[in-house]
Amino acid sequence: MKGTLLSFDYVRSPEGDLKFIEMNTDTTIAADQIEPSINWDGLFTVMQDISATKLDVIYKPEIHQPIVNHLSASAMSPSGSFITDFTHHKEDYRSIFPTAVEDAADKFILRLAYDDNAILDNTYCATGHAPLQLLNEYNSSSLAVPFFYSGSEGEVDLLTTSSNSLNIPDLAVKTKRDTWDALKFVKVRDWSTVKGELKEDYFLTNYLIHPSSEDTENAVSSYRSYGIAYGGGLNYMPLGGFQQYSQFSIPEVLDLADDGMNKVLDNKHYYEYSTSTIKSKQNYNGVFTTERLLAADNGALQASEINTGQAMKGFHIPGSPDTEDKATYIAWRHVGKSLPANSGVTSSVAVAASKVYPNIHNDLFSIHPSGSTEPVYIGVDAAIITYNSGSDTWAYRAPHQINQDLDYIFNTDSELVPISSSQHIILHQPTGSFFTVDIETNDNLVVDTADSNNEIVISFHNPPAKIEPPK
Amino acid sequence: MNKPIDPSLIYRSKQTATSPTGEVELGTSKVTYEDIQEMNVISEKILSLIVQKHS
Repeated sequence: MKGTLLSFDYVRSPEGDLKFIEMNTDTTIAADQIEPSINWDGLFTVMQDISATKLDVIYKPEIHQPIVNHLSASAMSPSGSFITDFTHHKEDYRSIFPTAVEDAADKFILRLAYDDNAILDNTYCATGHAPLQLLNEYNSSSLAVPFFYSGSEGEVDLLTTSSNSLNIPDLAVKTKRDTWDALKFVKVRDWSTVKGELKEDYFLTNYLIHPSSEDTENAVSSYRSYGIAYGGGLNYMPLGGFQQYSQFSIPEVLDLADDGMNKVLDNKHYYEYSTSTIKSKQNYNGVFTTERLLAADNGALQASEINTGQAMKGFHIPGSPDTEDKATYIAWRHVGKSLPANSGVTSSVAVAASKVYPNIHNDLFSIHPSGSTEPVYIGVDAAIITYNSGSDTWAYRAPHQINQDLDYIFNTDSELVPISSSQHIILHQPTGSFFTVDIETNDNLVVDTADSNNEIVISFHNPPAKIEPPK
Repeated sequence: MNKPIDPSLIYRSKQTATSPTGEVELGTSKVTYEDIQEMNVISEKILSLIVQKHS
């Protein structure tokens, strides 16, 4: 038996019912959301019904490792005790044609990785308007957000032309094929022209919002359900779901020119009107253009000053994985308040010139060490070494995961240094760039914190092995 | 570009990874049994229509 993990996204309409937005394979879930949101008992029941005792999982460690870990742990619980074999089939993050696994009567093959050979994936997940058109074709469009599509498959216009409050967009528009900047929001001033202006590149959906989002919560939210489609009949096995709030509250006003023209909102509004988790589809590793990285001689170097062979300051942690595989080093934990013995400043050599990534998004992060006069600015994909007192672990942590009340950086004596402020910053315009450098043999770079004589160590992993979006 | 970043360049900022307080937590999540059931019905319907269209 074969099955595919899917997620389905919904939004609550002004009338109070949930409306379908889109569906996805290659879907992920934040590690801290898995336990409260996902239950695998349905899968285990189906396996027992068909007498399957072997579970094969096809996945991409880069994005699926936490959910596979949870499934593996559940398979070892009493409800999964009948499972005799749990086989991992790891796919490259760039793969769109995962390895075929031979089916058998005693086997359930669960695919988490996108498969461009599957209609479910390449049509209904990768092409956002396809499931909306399907529902319309079968007289079920009331289950989904109203939409407008014009293209090779004809034209469908189900949009309603009522406008939202002045500070709420009226349309969510998406590129016809999934891309890194697929979603944008539009404030409509002229409903008679907006479809013509946007139909070439986008399909349009009404931006639905329930009154409670504006009246009491002051934040937008969406809903996501997870399930497995299995067997030739795509039977549905629900696993759970959650409601996700936006990262930023609804702004009081939209500062738009009062010229009667339709407005595609700036990207600075993305985290106000989308409920996307914080992520980058670019490579925003390393530090912002304001920062300097430390050379082995303690010199502070900007990106243009770092060339092949440059001796850089590093930080060595015995026992941490010596790899540039992000899934591996992100999973590393060291329990306890102290760094492993013999951790300390060392030097490594740049194996290439610095890598510079122009900031085409609007956001970055800041970490302000206690006792320092200035923060350090970093990119969304930087992996910072911190101690978290809540979990009593050292780990590489993404900037958005850092809790200033629980996380600590450290100094050259490996003593903990509190973080006075950890901020997610949205800029008015995409500004500046991020940079990092690949070093060997140690992989942890050190940021210049000159005002504290560099006794405070902010260290992050050098760039991971190159990855590309799968689709 | 100098540090700290000029405030005129900053649109908004917020603290990362705040601890739960019981209020609406931006960027965090919750769900009810009824919401899940409502979603499951529609998800199942979509899959059945895909099968219907391609069989």
